[in-house]
Amino acid sequence: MDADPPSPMAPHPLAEQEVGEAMRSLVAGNALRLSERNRRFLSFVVDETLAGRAGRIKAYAIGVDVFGRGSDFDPGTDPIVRIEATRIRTALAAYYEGAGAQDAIRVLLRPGSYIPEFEFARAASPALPPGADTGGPQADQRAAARTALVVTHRTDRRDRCAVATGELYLQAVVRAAAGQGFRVFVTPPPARRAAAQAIRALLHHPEDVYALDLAVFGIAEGRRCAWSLCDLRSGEFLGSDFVDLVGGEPPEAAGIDRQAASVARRVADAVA
Amino acid sequence: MGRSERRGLARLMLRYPERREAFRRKAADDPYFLELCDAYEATCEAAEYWARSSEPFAPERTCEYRRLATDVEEDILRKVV
Repeated sequence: MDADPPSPMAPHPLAEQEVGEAMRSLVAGNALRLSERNRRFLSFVVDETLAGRAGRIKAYAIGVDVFGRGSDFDPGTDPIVRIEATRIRTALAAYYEGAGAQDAIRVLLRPGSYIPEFEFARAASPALPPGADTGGPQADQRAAARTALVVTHRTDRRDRCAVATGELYLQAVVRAAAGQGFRVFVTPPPARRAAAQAIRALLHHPEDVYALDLAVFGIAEGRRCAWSLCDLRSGEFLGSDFVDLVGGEPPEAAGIDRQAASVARRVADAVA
Repeated sequence: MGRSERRGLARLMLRYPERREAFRRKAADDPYFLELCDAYEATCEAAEYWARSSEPFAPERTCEYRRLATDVEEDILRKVV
C-alpha cells in the first residue's frame, strides 16, 4: 500500500500557492462530506505534498500524525488509514460529480497511494489570427516555438542497463525536441529545487504546456523505448508510442538519435 | 471483484436483505461502491480482531472500529438511495 504505483504520466508540477488556497477552501467548506478527522487527513497529505515531502506520506506517518496512534502502530492489524482513505476518495468523487464539478483544481487520491495528485481544468488555447497558416512542418515548428515541453525520465532505476539507455534516449529526445522549437524542461531530481520551481512557474504562463514521459524497459529481445505525451494542466492524454531496440549492448547511438528525432516530430505534430 | 469486496458485499446483503437488489446493481457499475465494500469488510474484520485481543487498548479500538463500521454503512447506504 505504501509503494508509489508507477504512473505513465508525469505528475503536475504544483502551482503551490494556487493549489494550497484551493485545497484550504475545499477542506474548510461544507460541500465535501467528510468528518473532522478526515479533513485533517486530507489536509495533512496535501500540505506534505505541497511542502515537497510526499515521500513521507506513508500509512505509518498518517496513523501517528493524524490518527494519534503510538509508535507501535501497525497498519496490518489497525487498518484505519486505508479505510479512511477509501472514504475520502469516495467523498471526493461524489463532490466532483456534484458541487465541485466546476472546480478549477481537483485533488485525487488514487487507490494504492496516499499521495494526492492535482488536476487543473483545461485552459483555453490562444486563438490563431484570421488567415493564419495552419499546415506544414513550418507551422508545426511555430506551434512548438510557443510551447513548453516538460520531459520526465521514468525508467525503473533498479534496471541499471535500461537506465543507461534511458539517459541516452532522454538526451537525444531533448536535443531533437529543442530542434523542433520547443522550450524543453527536464524534470529534475528533488535536490535541484530551482529547476523544479521554473517548471512550476510554467503553470502561471498563458502558453500551452505539455508533459512528455520517457522510459526504457528491458525486454527479452533488447530494450523498449517508450514515450507518452499529455497536457500538463488538464492531464489529457495526447499520444504515446514505443520502439524496440533489438541487438547488441550498448545500443547503437545512431538508432537512438533516429528514434529521438521521430519522437520530437510526433510531439510537434500532436501539439500543432 | 476481489475477495474482500465480495465478503464485504455479502455482509451488507446479510445485514440489509431488503436492499440486496440495489447492492447488486451498484456493485455491477460503481467501482467506488466496491471500494466501500472492501473498506467495510476491513472495518468489520478489524473490529473482530480487536474484540478478541487482550491488548490494553483493545476495548478502545473495538469501539472505534464498530463506530467506523456504522459510518461506512452510512456511506454505502447513501450511494444506493
